[in-house]
Amino acid sequence: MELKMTLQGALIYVTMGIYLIAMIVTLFRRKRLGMAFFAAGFAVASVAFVYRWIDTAHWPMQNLFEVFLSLGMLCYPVSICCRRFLKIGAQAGDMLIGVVVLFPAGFVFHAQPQQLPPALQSPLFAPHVAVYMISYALMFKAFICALIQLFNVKPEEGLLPPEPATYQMICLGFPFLTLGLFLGSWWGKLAWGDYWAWDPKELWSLVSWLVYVAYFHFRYMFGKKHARLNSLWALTGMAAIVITLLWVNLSKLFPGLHNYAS
Amino acid sequence: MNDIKRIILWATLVLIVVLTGLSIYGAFLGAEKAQAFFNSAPLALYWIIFLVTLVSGGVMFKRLVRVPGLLLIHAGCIAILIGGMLGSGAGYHIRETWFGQKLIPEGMLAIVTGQSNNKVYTGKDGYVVINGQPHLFNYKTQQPRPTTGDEDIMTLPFDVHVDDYRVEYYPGSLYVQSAQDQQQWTLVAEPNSTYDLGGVYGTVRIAKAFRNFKITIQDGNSVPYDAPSRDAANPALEVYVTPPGGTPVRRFVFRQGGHGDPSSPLHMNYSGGGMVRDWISELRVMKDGQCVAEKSIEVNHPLYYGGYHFYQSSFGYDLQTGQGHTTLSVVSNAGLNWIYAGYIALCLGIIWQLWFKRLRTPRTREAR
Repeated sequence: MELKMTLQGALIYVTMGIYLIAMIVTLFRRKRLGMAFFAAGFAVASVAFVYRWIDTAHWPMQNLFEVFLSLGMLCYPVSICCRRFLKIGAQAGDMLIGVVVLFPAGFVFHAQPQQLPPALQSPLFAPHVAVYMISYALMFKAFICALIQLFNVKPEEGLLPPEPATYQMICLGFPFLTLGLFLGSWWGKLAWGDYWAWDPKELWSLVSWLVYVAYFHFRYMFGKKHARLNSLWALTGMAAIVITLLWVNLSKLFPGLHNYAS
Repeated sequence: MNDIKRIILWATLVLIVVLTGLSIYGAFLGAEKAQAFFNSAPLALYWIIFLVTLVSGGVMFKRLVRVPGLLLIHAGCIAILIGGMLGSGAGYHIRETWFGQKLIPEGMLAIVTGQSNNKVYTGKDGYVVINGQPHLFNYKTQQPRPTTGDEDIMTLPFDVHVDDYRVEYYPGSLYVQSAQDQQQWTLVAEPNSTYDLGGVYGTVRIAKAFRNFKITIQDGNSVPYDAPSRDAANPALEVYVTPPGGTPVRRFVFRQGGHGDPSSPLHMNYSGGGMVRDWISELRVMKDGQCVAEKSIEVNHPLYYGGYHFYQSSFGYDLQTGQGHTTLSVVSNAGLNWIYAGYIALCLGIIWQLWFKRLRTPRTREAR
């Protein structure tokens, strides 16, 4: 744990504070005010992202600090698009996601700008990481919808019930997850010589992909007959994603090719 | 739904869950053991069952053929499995015994700068050049030994020639501070760059960056040079400071501190430098005395020729002969086209099915 006494750190803490206020206000049924705070938090998060970009002079998705910073910015546009186009609610959950994903950037990971090692100097670097981050943000929202389903919370008027909402979120996020896997494999072939190296991080990302593949087959087989089991698949998928993202990089258990991301 | 369809669906679900479990187990093994595990005989059986289930799904479920998205997804998975099998150890073995086609799965090709080689070492030891001769390097004992000739050596049907290789480094930073008024400058230590500090300080020209600074005496003059070394052992900068209207004064600034110049009005510190930005080897592929391909390979940009990719793996100096050598990693692309075709089909199919079909479906139907 470290407190960042820099402008970058201050921007992150301010964003977290605004997201938190937005969530509390929303939970007290002042939804319009909550969304206004959410938008303000997004504006500050965008400034933090652009500041980082200028500071490091490269697309800021190299290490976990930058990855979480980006996620903290992405949660607002994802939330707005889901409500507008897919009729999926759970906006207070999105605000919580914002706070949760910015916590590691604010308090856990170091922010020193780094020069890119040769393997990371590739045009595939930014799209590979970016599509993964987008898919993770979407799957996190699917996870929140699945939790709402498990706790039997009623949706707002005009919005989807939580089970189909979970399904829609996974339909939205899964192509990004697949693209991330494909781009990573292609890049691996160019940089390391193998499209698949059986590296622990690769295997965990395959695990997260397979859990959602199993979810689609299970839901095709049983539909909404076992709605709670459908939600449990979504929860398992999120657990696999968290392990892929964090445990593999932090733990000494799995030495591998992706170590520079730690 | 009839019984066979139900069995296929259940088999698919079980196979996916089993693969998930095996992948988690593989992640605990580490890459090398995981690769051996997923290429072992029991797993070969698993992959074949998976392939058969996918194909039988396509036969039994008309929807998998009629719906373009689903067809692309499942055909993509079949192509990826076939590609993986073609590129596996068993795939190479079958190709050699049944079709007499001998390919080099992967190996190391060490080439002395300015020379050619086509002997690829496929064993597990390291591969280095000492006295111009290839040696094997045991990672455990850290001892090199000369190759006895044909041990784990396979021959390419063409020669690879290394014209030159070089390493590029990120520039470090030169911190300059005025002794008088504590004014500070941070300069990018790129060789051949000149900075005007203005006022009474004049200009600073960075002439050269050394990774391993050494000095020798020639004809009574001290001559600095960059001694060959694998690591940045003694990084230093050669700097010329020119006061306004004065003549340039040469200074050396070391990362490890050392020789300061108390008479100068400018204090200097050097940091960073020595971090590799890229490795570059200039390669030519020679066949029957003709150059059939050439490329400056660098990280992320391998050379492709004759079914093989050539990657920069390592480089080094032979301290006894002073010669440099490059070690290339040679990887066959057996099955690669199947894999890429499978990826593209899979991605297109998933996007088509989930975004354009699923999300387009009236949501009111879902709500019901």
